[in-house]
Amino acid sequence: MNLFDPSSDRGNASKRVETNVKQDAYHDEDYDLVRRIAGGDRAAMRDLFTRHHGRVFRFIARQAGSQTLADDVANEVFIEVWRAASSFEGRSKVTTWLFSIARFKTLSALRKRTTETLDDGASERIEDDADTPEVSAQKTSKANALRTAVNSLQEEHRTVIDLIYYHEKPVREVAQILAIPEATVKTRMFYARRKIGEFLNDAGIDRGWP
Amino acid sequence: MSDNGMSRRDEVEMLLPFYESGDLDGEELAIVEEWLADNPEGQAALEAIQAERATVEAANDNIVPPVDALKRFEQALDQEIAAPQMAVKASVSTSGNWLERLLPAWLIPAPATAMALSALLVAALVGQTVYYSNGTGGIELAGEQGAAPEGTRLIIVFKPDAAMGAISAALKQADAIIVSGPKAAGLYEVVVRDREAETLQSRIDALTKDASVQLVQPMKQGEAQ
Repeated sequence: MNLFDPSSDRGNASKRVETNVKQDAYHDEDYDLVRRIAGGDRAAMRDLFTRHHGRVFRFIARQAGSQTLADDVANEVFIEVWRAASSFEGRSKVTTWLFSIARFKTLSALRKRTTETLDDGASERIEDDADTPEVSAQKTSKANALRTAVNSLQEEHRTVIDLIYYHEKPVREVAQILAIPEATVKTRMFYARRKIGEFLNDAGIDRGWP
Repeated sequence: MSDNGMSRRDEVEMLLPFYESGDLDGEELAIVEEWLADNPEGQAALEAIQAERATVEAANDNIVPPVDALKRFEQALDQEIAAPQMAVKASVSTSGNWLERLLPAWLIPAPATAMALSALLVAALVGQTVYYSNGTGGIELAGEQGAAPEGTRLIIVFKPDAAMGAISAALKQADAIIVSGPKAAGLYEVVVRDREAETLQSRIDALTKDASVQLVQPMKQGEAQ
């Protein structure tokens, strides 16, 4: 799944440089697509959608706990790109721009939504939340307990974890997407991991430090 | 203890995920590398992070977008293109900022929901402008280099129809900086710097009365996050 970093050896400096070059090329293609979209090129819009819809959709779905809502909001995000492409100045990566639009559209949609029925994914997550750590430990393996711990995080913590672990965004970009200071990104990650550790400890699972 | 009140162990714990992802350099990288060299439990800590990463990746990969998403998007795009009046509204602008250009369209669902919705919209607007206008005369956002500045902390709600330039000018005039937000109902936490103490109160008063500001509330001690 790792789109930008084909190397699994994170300590290898040369591979990291090579990866950065590939990332730069990928982002250059994104910039070119947005430039073409600004000129009304529908094929470029289709290409950008195909490249990024999956990640945008998941980002929204994880925040909202609803794939139904994610479907609508993701569409709105790309419509917004179509409208605003000519104003994109390229000061950030296109993906960071996309995610920041998605973030605010998701928050807006969540506030407007009052009675929407939760879909299966959200219901499943709430069930997980309802389990005590002891019960979870009895019925799940360590891996499942970790999954439950991650899914039971508060939204703001889960979103930071997703952006860093799954979307592989550096601190600076996470700060831009969420419109929060970089220091807050780090502290949210810190407390998110503390919560995971506490959950596992309560479930009788020792993963060592921290 | 470090400058931020954390123990060295907490500081390393905070930095480890970013070390693991290759997002550290300079002093922070040196702190972690030094700690790892002295602490054998470091490897287990990194393995715990890798397990978390794998779990998060699996949770995300389990979410499968609809197969007809592109088709439905193209239908939505057809409607968007066929609605020129919407595009005209969206292109009304007083500056080059992309979200400013969207504001009229976003504010269309006016009277009934305006108050609740517009606060959020302004919140989104400000957040985006922080992001796109930094360093070019837009709104300043605290924390890019670390801790928030010293000063008087306020909670502010900007008026729903406040223009981006007006908000930016008001904050600049008051020597104020957004340190967090938007929170529920579009609340922002703002610090008015106290480096010119004799003018502090007058700057707060001016900010309170500014046409772009709907509400200013002083924060109590210990209320800041």
